[in-house]
Amino acid sequence: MRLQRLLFSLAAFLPLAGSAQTPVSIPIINSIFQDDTLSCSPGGDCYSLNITGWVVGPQSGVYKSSTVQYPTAPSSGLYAAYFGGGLTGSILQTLGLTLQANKTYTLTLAVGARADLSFTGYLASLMAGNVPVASSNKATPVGGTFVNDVIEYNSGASPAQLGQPLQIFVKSLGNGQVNIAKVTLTMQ
Amino acid sequence: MKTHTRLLPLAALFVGVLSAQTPVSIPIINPIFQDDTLDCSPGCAYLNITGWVVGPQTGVFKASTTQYPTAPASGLYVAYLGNTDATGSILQTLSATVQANTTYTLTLGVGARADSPFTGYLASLMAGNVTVASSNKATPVGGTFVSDVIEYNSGATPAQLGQRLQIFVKSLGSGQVNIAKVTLTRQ
Amino acid sequence: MTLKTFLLAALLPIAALPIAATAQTAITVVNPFFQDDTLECSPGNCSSQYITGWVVGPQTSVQKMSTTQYPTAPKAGLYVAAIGDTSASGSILQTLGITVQANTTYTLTLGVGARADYPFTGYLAALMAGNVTVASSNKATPVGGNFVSDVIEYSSGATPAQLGKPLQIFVKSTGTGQVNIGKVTLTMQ
Repeated sequence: MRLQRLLFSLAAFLPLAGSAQTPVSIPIINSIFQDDTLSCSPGGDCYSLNITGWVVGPQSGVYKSSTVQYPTAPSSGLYAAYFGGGLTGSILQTLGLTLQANKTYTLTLAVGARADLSFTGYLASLMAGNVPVASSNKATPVGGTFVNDVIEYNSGASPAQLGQPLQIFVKSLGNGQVNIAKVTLTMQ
Repeated sequence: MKTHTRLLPLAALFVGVLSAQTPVSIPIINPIFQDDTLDCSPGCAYLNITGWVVGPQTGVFKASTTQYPTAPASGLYVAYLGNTDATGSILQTLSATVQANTTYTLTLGVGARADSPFTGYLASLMAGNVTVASSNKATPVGGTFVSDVIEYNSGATPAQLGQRLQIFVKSLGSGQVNIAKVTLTRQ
Repeated sequence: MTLKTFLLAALLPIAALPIAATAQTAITVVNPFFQDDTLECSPGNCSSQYITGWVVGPQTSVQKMSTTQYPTAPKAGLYVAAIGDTSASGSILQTLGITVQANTTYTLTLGVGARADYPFTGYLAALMAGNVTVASSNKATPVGGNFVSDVIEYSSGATPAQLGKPLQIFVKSTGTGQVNIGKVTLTMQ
């Protein structure tokens, strides 16, 4: 009886195995947009259509900005995805993981507004099987800065998109430009 | 015996209702090519299309009445594939995979511009990079769209079972083909 | 002869037979020779951004080479993927329909070319699965105007970390030169 009581007391204090899970990082190709190297000097004219690993829309590519666009950019330039500017653009990547039940997915994007160009908004989505499961457009960076947009999705016990491949999708809105410097996705 | 006799016709009706399944739509990103907004006046185009892997000389086109007389004043968004410089293509891999005993219906709005030659196209339903059904039968008159409907019956043991479905269209020759709408259903 | 001896004698030759070797299976690649696109221009300075079936990075195109770039090019031109230039590095990526299986050997073979008229400053070719590199190589060193094969092998083992993940082929240029890819094949065994 004493041993039973002791064990019961210990069990009450022990955390349930797996209840404090560490977020698992989901691999993204070219997640900080540095897989492409541009030879030009950082600045407004230093960009190229297309981005390694991402399916892009019109007017979308990789950009090496200078302190004119982002005052804290290093002298070697700051690589980011650019999309939009006169027309809308987009980036899309399909990941290797499929949507699982009872998981929390956290998509974090560093959203930037150039100091020298208008920012007219964006829409970022976590998708699965081509269907958005969570989205956001809440980041409102001041010109020349990046702010994080954190998008969370709880799949629940029986998500409609169970087993579908996860995707990250961001598009620009209006005729301004949005820059994305970093994308991460975790699962817990 | 009487109860069984009464129930049999009802059972037959019930089976009939079940077997007439409603087609299920398979999600496609940017299926009517309106996810991109071009600021220019109708008659303008830009390389690349949101959600589609493109080949050369392929992008989104905001056509005017010069290209399609029934286009709205705000412009008609379509995919443009190819021109006199090169052939073009669009490809999208879907999340749905090939299932047995299923009929897939791919429908495309295929257009020929009034102001540019149309020299044909090839549209395919693929799975795991292998073509399972294709067509080039639409012959739109300049300035119009016609539908091309491509059907694929997977049968009991399809070779591409479990492979992800893909939609692929390419232009042929030195002309241009426009695609206004893409849908895919399964039944 | 006892039953035991008889059975042993009968079975030994059968046991000595080699286990049948599994045949190599080709994995389908869209546009593996970069000939799905037709360029109307004359071979040589003839290219167009984007390549059917491949997700491309910057400065990546399909190009129709002439004997200026590759002396053995046919008169009609030689189609290749042209990846990178002095402006920017480039890349090609394709996700395949097959996922990683256990106890399987995958062999990725690429025809890697260096133009006779443009610097070649290297490349990195990778077999990936679920966006994770499982095997890679940069060992081909073609002489200007030639192609050489780079063969990249990946043996998945009993419990591969990327089991069930879709296979991908990825090639990027390094430095300020250009790498051409003439052919891509992937088999499994």
